[in-house]
Amino acid sequence: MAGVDRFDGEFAAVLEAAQSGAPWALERMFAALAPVVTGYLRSQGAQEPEDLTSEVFVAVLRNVVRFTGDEAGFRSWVFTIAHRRLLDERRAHGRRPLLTGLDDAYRVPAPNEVETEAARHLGTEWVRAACDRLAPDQRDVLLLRLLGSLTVEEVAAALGKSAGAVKALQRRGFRAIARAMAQEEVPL
Amino acid sequence: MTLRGDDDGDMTPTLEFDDLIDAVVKGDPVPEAHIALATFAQRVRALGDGPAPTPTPELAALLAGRSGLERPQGNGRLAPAARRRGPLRRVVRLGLGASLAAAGVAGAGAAGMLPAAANNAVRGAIDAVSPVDIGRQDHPANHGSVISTDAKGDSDGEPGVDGRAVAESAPGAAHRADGAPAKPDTPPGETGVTGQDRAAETPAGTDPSATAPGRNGNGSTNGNDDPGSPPGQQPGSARPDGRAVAGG
Repeated sequence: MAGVDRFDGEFAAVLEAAQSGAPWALERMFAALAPVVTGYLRSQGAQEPEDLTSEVFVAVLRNVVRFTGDEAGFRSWVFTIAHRRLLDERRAHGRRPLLTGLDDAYRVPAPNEVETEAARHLGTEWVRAACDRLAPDQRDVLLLRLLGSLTVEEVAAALGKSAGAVKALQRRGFRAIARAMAQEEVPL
Repeated sequence: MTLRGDDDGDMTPTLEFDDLIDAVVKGDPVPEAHIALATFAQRVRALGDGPAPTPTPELAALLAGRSGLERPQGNGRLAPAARRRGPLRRVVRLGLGASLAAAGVAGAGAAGMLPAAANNAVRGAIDAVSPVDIGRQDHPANHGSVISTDAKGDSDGEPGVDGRAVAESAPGAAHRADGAPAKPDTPPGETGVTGQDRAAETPAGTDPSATAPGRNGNGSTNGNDDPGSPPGQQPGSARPDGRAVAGG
């Protein structure tokens, strides 16, 4: 997705240095994308999102010498690896763990409802719970679009679907979220 | 309850909704009626705002440059690691198995547990890759005549050995020609008592039933009349190195 720049316009220089093995460049790649990858994996219900993030970046850094492309392509590549690692972990564990449900999220105690931080936390919990209750394909699309900042075409490539199918899944996912927010008093 | 947006009829028309989605995803301004959806998207993006997790040791080594990155091969953009994993693991397993087998044979050879021929083969193989001498039987003629400076104490000033004196507690010291204190009065074999005499003093010397195999006591043997041959051994069956050859 154009406009997202996590390398302050220096991606080409960072990539070149990383491909020559410069530790500072490898560290910069990790620092730039590891938080969003971890957020994606956690939102998808990964058992060990931090360790899985490390696995993703081990694969990324070991193969970075072969990468050609811009930052958007790099981000798309990283999230494609992350999504595949996530599927591997799910297969290894046999099932996907349930995250906190919406009802549970509403029961999160807030000492003072006027406190902004508590409300924000409650909103974040609702967002996570809402993502978890989406159909898996819709969740994949929405999280890759919003957290990974991938285009429809990049999401389609990452998931092995057509761009049209991704658009349809995206539409349905956002409609479901909008409907739930309209029906419930969502503390966002 | 599961959230599924399957019923499109109750919401904004599709094309208009697609435009709304684009704005929401990009973070552009949206109509006030859809502020909540934009806030939702903002909250989802915020899920990735945390600090980078602590890398595992393997990743930390990579980040520090202590572990090598793969070198480019061919002109492919990306070669899936999983495609190479199977054959590579098989090769590693085969190599590991061969290494373990070789290590086992080498260990047995070094411990002297193998037949002589196999022992020599193992010794040769180890010599080819290791500077360690695991003990040849063909010692040179001057074996032991050279004394190291470490043994003599020249290297560190500590008193060592001169190569001539032999401790009394050392095995065989009594038979050394220059070991005056331990030197016996009469050399071996010069006491006037022969080995034959001593043999008669042993229990076997007086017990006819203890006659050595192959000898019947009256001089006749089972074809072995050579007094220099060990009991039960055919004349001329000994190898030049004095080791017996198994009779067949």
